[in-house]
Amino acid sequence: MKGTYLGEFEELVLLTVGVLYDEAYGVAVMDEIKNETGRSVNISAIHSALRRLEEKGFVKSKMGGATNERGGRRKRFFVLTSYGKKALDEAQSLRMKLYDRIPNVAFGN
Amino acid sequence: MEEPKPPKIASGLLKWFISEAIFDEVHGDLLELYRARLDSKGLLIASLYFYKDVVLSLRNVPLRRNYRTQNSTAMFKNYFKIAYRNILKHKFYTLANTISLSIGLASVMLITLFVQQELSYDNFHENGPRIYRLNKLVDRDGKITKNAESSGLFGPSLAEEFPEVSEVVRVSQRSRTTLNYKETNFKVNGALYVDDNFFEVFDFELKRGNPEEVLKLPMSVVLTERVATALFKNEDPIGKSIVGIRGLNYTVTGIAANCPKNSHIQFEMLTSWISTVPDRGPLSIGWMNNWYTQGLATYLMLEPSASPASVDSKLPAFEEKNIPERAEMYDFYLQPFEQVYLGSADVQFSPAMSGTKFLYILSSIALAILLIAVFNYVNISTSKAASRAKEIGIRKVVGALKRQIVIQHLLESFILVFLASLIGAFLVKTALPFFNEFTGRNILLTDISSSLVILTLIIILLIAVASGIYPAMIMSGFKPVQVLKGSISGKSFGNGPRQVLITFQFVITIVMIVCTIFISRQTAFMNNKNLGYEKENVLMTQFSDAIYYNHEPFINELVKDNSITDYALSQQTPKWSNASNSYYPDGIREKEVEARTFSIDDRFLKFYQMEIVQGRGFDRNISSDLTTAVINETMMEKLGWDQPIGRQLGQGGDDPALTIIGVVKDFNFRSLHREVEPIVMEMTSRPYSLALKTRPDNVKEVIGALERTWEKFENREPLVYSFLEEDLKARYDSENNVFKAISIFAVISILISCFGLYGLTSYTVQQKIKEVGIRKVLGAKESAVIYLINRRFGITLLIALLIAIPVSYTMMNAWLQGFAYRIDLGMSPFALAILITALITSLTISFQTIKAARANPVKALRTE
Repeated sequence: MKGTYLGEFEELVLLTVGVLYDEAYGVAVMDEIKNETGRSVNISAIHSALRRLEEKGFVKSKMGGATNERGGRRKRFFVLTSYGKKALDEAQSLRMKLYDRIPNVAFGN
Repeated sequence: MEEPKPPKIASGLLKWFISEAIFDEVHGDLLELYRARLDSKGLLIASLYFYKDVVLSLRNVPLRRNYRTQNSTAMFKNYFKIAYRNILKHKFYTLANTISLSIGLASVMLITLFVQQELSYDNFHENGPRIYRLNKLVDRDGKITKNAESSGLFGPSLAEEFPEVSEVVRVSQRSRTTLNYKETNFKVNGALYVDDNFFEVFDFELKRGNPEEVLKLPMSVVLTERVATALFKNEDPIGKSIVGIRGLNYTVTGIAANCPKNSHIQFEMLTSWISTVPDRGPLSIGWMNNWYTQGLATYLMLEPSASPASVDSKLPAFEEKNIPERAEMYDFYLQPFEQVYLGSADVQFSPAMSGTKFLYILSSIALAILLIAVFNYVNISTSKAASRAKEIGIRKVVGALKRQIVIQHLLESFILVFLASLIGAFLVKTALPFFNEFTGRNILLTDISSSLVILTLIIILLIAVASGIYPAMIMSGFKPVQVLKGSISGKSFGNGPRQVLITFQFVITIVMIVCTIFISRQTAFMNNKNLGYEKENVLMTQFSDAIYYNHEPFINELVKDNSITDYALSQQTPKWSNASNSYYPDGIREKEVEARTFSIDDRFLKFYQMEIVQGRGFDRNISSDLTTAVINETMMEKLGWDQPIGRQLGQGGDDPALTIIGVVKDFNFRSLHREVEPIVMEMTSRPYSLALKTRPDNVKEVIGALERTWEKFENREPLVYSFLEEDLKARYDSENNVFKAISIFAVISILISCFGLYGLTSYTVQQKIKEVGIRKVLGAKESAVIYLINRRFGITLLIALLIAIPVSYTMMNAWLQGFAYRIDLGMSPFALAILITALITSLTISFQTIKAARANPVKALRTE
């Protein structure tokens, strides 16, 4: 079903938003991903992922106050919605369920 | 040191493509990254990365849609809702606006329709750009006129001798005739003689028959579908023999589609030219096949590469060679075929005499009306701008941009203009029959071309923008703080421009009223002027061929009926007098004088009650009177003879010299646009026009007697009769049309202006309601209050008068110059126009001001 499907990168961004809690805006999310996974991602990809997540209802956003360090531009802060949390839980449990079913023989040797 | 900033171009680019809704955050993020990179990697790298980020952000362009639409659909819904509420809240203003706009739009639509029809004339011939009509300038004693006629032998010789000329078509008109097939008779209105290449040069559609062959043989005719159906019903017409012109037999060789309305060549029947050539065709019409008689139209189709100028330049030599006696008087030239319809107002004997003048007058009137309507809209909307001030203030406070407010108000004007154009379209449908009647056209709604529909839509759009943009600008400029503090309500906006617009409306209205008065006076003057002869109660008819050869028994039979009290016979009549001749005073050729010729009987002068100032009229009992002449005063003046009686006028050719026996007082036999021309009258024994005297109480009997006698002598051609007075009136058709158009539209423009004025006054009154209340409490009289409000309109009216009077004076002066006999440009029409305008204005506004002045001041003041 389109709209609720959570892609790999989206899941990563969604997790990061959850981790950063109150401080999740474009650049922060990008930095966090870089630090945690070493993946270098362009800011525009973050913007588009955040927007998609918001459309799907996994995150919601509000504008922050203006700061001088950004040329007076405001930040948009994203927070995880409970629906988003649920999507993460489901993805997690699905992964665990499948992981648990891997028989030992599969490892070979 | 100032901190370096990221490349402006990149920021600008981002701002341009990225949605406004997310620009702030995106740009902020990019700036933050730029800063970080600036510190660690230096200016160049940071800038390059900034560029990269901007370019990659292109992927976020679609985000614009998601964020924009939700909001703006909601806002547009809200705009519609507010517009709807406003329409209901200000019912009267809406009504005034819509009515005036719809009338204005209807006028414009009607006139565009008319202009389209006029411009489409003769544009359906593929060869059109290469076809020219042979016109000539005629120089008579230094007076130069244009005319569209040429002689029969001109065309074929031109085709032979001029390499530039590829084809020549001659068209000669015989106005009407009757066709018979078995028991069926059918009256044909446009019967033409044309050359056999008619269908190759022109693109008139031939439904049956071969275009190259149909007119090759003598006595072949091509009928239009309408005629063929009427005559042959279900039979196949091709090859059938019919009885036609002069009672001879013709063979139908082809069927043409009905002649398009927008063609200046109109026909219902075409007869092959060869039928008229003496010795070759039985009709043998000499005048159509000689060098001198000018009476037909010649159309030349040039080779694609040839220029008309090269033909023009060779024409004088051609004239010198072929018509040496007239070479000096005539100067032939080529008129482009596609200009014949609109460009022939000054060309005599041109079948289409529309001219662009009426078109211009009509278009400018339509434009004026539209302007008045648009001004109404602007005036009314700006004047009630204050009532919308709070709404706009609130909108701005909650974040509306200036642009959005402009859009909102433009949308409102779109809604209103759209509504008005629907009503306007309905008005057009209703008014079209009346419009057709006075323009003499037959325009149908189905004639509208798709390009015209698009044009009309564009015009409607432009009007919506034009009428909405100024109020929208005014209102979007409100400062929210001021508006909401309340310091702005009660004031009005755009007072200066509004005064200008009202003044302009007044000017248009006054000019129109003045023009209407002048034109009506001039038309009345022309219709009532004593022309120098009796024109009332005169019934006119022209003999058919059969009666022409047999007219004496016909008259003898006719006068037996006792309703016939008086009659006169002639060739020319006051309404139809095209013949002219050269006369040689005392037989001296060098002193040649050109004069109109009237061939009349001995009753003519008495019948028309023309006054003889010297000598006597004709007497049929004096046999020598056949070589005498009666001249008019202008001719006497031209000859320079004080005592012309007994002197001789020589004539060309073998015609005997005429002895002058009398002088008749000048009479206006032609349109009053022209001066009286010199006339020589002679007695004829071969008349073809009959005039009968009627009384108001015996018109039916006279017509009855004429019909009965006619049927005894003529069994083919129907009787056609008319009243002289009406024929003469028809001469001023174009003036009458202008008069009708301008008077109708003048009334409309006054009406629309009144709507606007009424709306404005009611608004002014509403605004001044507290001032009036306070004044009254302090003891002001009602009259003082009325003066207070009316004063402003009075001043406007005064300024308008100062502009309108010189403008209309100049216009009317120019118009009246076109008449040789005209009314004086007196001051009374201006006074009348001023009076009418002042009266209407004060009626419109006083209704409201008096109401305001009488109102109880307590009502006005207690709300505070």
